[in-house]
Amino acid sequence: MAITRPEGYNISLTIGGKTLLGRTQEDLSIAAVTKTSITKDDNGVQQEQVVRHDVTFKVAALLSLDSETTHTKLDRDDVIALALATGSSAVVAVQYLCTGGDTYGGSAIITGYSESSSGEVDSDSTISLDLKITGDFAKVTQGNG
Amino acid sequence: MTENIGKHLTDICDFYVPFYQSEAESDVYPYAVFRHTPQEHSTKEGVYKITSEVSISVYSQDFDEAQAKADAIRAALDADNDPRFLIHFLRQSKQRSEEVWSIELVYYVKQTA
Repeated sequence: MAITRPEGYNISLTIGGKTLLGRTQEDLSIAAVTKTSITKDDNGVQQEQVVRHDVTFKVAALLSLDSETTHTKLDRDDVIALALATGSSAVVAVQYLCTGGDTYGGSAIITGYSESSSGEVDSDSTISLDLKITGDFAKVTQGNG
Repeated sequence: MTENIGKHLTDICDFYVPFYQSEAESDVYPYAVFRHTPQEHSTKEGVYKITSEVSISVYSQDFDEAQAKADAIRAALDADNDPRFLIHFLRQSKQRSEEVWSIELVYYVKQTA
């Protein structure tokens, strides 16, 4: 049995096919939403049933600007534009990749964006993005793990 | 990114006084020795900066000479405008031990390319 433990840089979230420029952290959270029920057949013991999952992402990155005309990654201005989108434009396609593992995908909305900067000498300014999957979050390619 | 902080400081300071890393390679005064511990900072795309707190100690048997060499080094580092490096002065201290003066300059240095 071969076990691999991918380094963090081999795990990425793409938004519209692009990763964030200067990304330092990508967190996935899957939370089960349950319904409690009880019938007379349960003999007084409540039953928990999973009805859906709340899938959310949090991405942190250095605040970076890309002056190239052909952006291969999302810089700070791209992300703000996405965060301010409304209606159908606010829904983005995301994929979560892990080298050697399965890739998952779905549609998401950006639920939060924040920036942090200070006046200290050589302090890094950072951005943080929160996303929530709307609808299914499903496997799109099979890994070799 | 390859760490070049030591080389960059040497290129600047060696013009003013023999400048060695970690320990002196000569017993002829004056000379200067620098010590630093570079630290890499990474995003998932790779190293984007290297930082270090650098201590530069100027040694001389004559205080005025040690001070003049330290002043020259400080002026040269303050004037450095290489965009790959940020050199920020932190503090200075003076000490005399066994008839030798040492003036220590401490800098925060960042390399970004």
